[in-house]
Amino acid sequence: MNSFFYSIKQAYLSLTQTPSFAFSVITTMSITLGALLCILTLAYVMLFKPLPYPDSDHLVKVEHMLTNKDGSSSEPLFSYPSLMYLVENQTAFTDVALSSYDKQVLTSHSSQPTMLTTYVTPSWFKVFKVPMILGRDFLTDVNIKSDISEAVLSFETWQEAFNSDMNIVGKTVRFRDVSFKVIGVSAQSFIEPQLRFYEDDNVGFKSQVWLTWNFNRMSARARKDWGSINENLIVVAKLDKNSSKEQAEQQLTTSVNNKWQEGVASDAFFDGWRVDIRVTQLQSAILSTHQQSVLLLLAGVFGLVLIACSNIANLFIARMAQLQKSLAISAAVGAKKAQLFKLLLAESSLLMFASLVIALAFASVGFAVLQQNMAQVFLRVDEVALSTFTLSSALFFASMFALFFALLGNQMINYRAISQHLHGSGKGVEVQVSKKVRYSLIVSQVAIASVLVFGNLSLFSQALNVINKPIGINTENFVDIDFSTVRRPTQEERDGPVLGTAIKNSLLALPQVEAVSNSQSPLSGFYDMALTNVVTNEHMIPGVKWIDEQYFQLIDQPLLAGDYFTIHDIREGFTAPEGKVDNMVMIINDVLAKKLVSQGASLDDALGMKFKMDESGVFTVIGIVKGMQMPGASTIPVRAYVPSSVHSISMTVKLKPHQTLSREQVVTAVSEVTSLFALFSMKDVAEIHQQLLFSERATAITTGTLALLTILLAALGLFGILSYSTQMRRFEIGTRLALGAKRRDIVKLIVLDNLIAVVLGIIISIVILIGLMIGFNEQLQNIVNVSLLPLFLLTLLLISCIAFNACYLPLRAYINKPALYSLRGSE
Amino acid sequence: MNQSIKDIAIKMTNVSKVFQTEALETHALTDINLTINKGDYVSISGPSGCGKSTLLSLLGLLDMPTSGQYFIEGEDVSRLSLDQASETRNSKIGFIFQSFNLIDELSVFDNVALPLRYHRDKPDAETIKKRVNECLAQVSMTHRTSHKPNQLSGGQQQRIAIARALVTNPAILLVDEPTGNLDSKSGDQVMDVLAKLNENGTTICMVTHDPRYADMAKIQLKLLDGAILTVPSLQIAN
Repeated sequence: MNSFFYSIKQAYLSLTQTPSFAFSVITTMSITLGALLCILTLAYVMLFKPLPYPDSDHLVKVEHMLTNKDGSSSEPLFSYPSLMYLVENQTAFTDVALSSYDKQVLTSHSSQPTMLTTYVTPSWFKVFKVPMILGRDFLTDVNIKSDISEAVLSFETWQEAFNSDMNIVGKTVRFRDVSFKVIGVSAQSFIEPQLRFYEDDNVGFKSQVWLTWNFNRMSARARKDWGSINENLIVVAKLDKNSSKEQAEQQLTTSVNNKWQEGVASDAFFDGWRVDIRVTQLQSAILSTHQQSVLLLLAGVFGLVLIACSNIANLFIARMAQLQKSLAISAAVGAKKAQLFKLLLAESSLLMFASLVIALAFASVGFAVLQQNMAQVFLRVDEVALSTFTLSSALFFASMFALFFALLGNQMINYRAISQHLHGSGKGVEVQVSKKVRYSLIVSQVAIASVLVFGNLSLFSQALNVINKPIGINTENFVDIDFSTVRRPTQEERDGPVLGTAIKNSLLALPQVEAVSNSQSPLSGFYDMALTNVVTNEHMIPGVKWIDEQYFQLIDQPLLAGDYFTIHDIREGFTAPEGKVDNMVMIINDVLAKKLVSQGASLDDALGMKFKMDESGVFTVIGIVKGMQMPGASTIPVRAYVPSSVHSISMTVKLKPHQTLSREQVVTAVSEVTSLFALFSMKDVAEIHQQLLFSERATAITTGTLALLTILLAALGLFGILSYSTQMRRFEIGTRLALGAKRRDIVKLIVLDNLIAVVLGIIISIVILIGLMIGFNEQLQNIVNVSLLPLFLLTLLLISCIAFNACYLPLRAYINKPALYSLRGSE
Repeated sequence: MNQSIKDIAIKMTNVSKVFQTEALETHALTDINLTINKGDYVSISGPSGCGKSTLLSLLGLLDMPTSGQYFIEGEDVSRLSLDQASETRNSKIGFIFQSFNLIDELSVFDNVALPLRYHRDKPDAETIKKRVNECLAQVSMTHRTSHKPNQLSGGQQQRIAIARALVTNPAILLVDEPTGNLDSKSGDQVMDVLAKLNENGTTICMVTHDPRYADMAKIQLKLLDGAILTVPSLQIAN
């Protein structure tokens, strides 16, 4: 033990003599190890760690797939009656938890915050075993159709909106005009399963308040409509220990499908359709789409580790040359091979464990950054934290690296030459790294760096393309404003002037407002609706949006044929006026028009076509607009636009240049007109645009950072090897200079000498890339194409430039001084 | 005695060399005046630290003087750029080092040919081969052309180094302790080669601390504390 401490102490003292070596190793290693631990922990949580709920391997997500007669399926969404039928008639599960996600204004609160509310059945709290700090959760022995309105607050809501009121239980909260009695507060430790994203915010949905299921905002009609599906209905169940996923799927598909067919029998639209129930492990359902991102990141980080190892290997080689004399003296006084190795191991261990401590700090910062920015890309990121897993893998990697570098250093020492070091004059007997080792270091650096830089740059440029792709409309200076009703309107309000118009006018009166459109922002508010061609009886489901007559001109969406809506097309009632049901107008986008007209025919042929939209009536196509691509989307979807109503309280406000509009200004403007509406949400359209590009931006930032780190590490590494090898050849360079070689000759000599290694590295990188393309053809086919060739050439140019500079810069020390300096250096 | 400028191989006038470090200024050489004629065999000797190596470095354009003038075959080489100095070294100076300084990766032939590859005239392969073989013949080493230097004995290596120094027909051979790394037998052989070369007209300037070998030169200079102590009679007569 004493000798162990002695070794450590010696190693420490020796390292303090070479702070630059210690600094380089610790910096490189702590950054790399930090990144590795961060991503490794993330991967562990996402791919292996069981969900933090009891019997989590029995938890499943149940989905409802509609397939039409052509065999194409809809999104896996439930219709309300199917959902309720399933809950009441299934036998495969011990518990079924329903949830319906919503966003509404807490009207009982003075600041009227908009909250994320989730309507749940009592078993939801049982299935996820929600810990409570105050009160109780919903009673499981009551019927799921119970009419007792109760609320459970999340820990954060209790803290932020209710100042941690210890007497909150028993008080009431009001959403819209329904009061709920607070029965409890969940504990801070509860991690809500990320079952759904909230589309506007683009972050995982974190419920702020849970409410009694039966008060969910499904309309009475939707509760009976088997044909309309809803994205807010989520089903999680616990499998009975005696039944498998497959059995459950089979049993439920049969029973739900039979019932569903009865439900839609009267609607010819659904002829030939069928329902399938899909049951998936909750864990894989939550993570399915995100696994690939994690694996990609993991691959990137391992690449970084390889580069860093190669860099540090280099530093150790140079360090061995430096240690030569003291090792020789130790050997001369009788140190054995094993004892010298112990000395090296002490040194590498000290360095690795110092790096480890800093790496853990880096990893913690990394966790925070991931949680702040990547909640959408990596679900369960909330659970990522310094854990036993992180610590044990940190220890494992640090020990492996320490051992590896000590062994490497040991390899470098030529024990026979060591004794000669003292006998001879010192000339020609040094720690020599064989040419083969130097070459293989260069080759591996170049190969790994080329693959990583190219891979990251490809993803980076792809993300950048999507981010910079024009979407075909103007989104600058727009604000999207939505109101919600605070209470039921009075008879007076029903009979009085149209409030939608009044609010619009009062907003228009604000000095900074240029125009107001009674429509949702161009980046939101599309609803999938079934259209039936009145003549051919063909069906299609475009995204339909309700807009006013100014909408297209305001956002600069070009008209390709026909006409825009006029003020006369805007509906005056909440539904179509009497007599106009069969004579309403519609504008479609060119993508939909192309589907309607026969191949090669003019799009104008679509004008005049008539479509029935469920109960809203019959619409005639009067115009065709150029389709707009949603930010981040790869295709332009089929779209139809119909006139909104004067009662619409969704507004898109266009501001005058360089003007801003505050929440207070809008609230004041509206309160002057009516007390019926509360401001529900208010968002910059440009901001929505940015949010829709979130995952592309996250990709761009991650890959850009990785590419930069790779370039940095590769440059450091190549510089390290080449400056070392130049140092080794200093004497030869001096001799050549003495014999009359010019500076150019020496540069040429060194560059040509290393060119083979660089070219070999590049060839290996091409082989790896081709291998990856063949091996991962399916996953990569969207990414790999001919347009990446210039990018690949750019990568090679970059790596070559780095390699050239790594050759040239260390040489400057010798060729820019009189030859004597290089010659003298040999002695 | 009249001296034609044509007969002067190298000439130094008031050459000084000062090494400056942060703490101190070292006057390695002060006011060196030296003329070596064509065909001369000059030895420079003196105790350790007297400035022998510095003088040889200046003579060989491996370093630049702090002040003074230096001419090789009448050409002023006191203020050359690094590349100009390289070119002059290549064509006018042949180096022989104590530790031979052969390049291990290159064969004997390629080591000898190396200066020609850096030569301004870019001689063709045939010319190089002819010239290299001539030089190897002069040092009796024609039988080992494809060997690597580390396969040869020290004496043989030094003879290869001499052949390399001769290959561009330099104005002068600068020889730095040629026998320092050799046993006495090999040392004698090397000295014989040098004596023979001088007999055939090669100008030689040799640094050595071995008085036995210094005596073999026709002109013996002694250096002490950076100044020339003994000026050859020939020069005093002037």
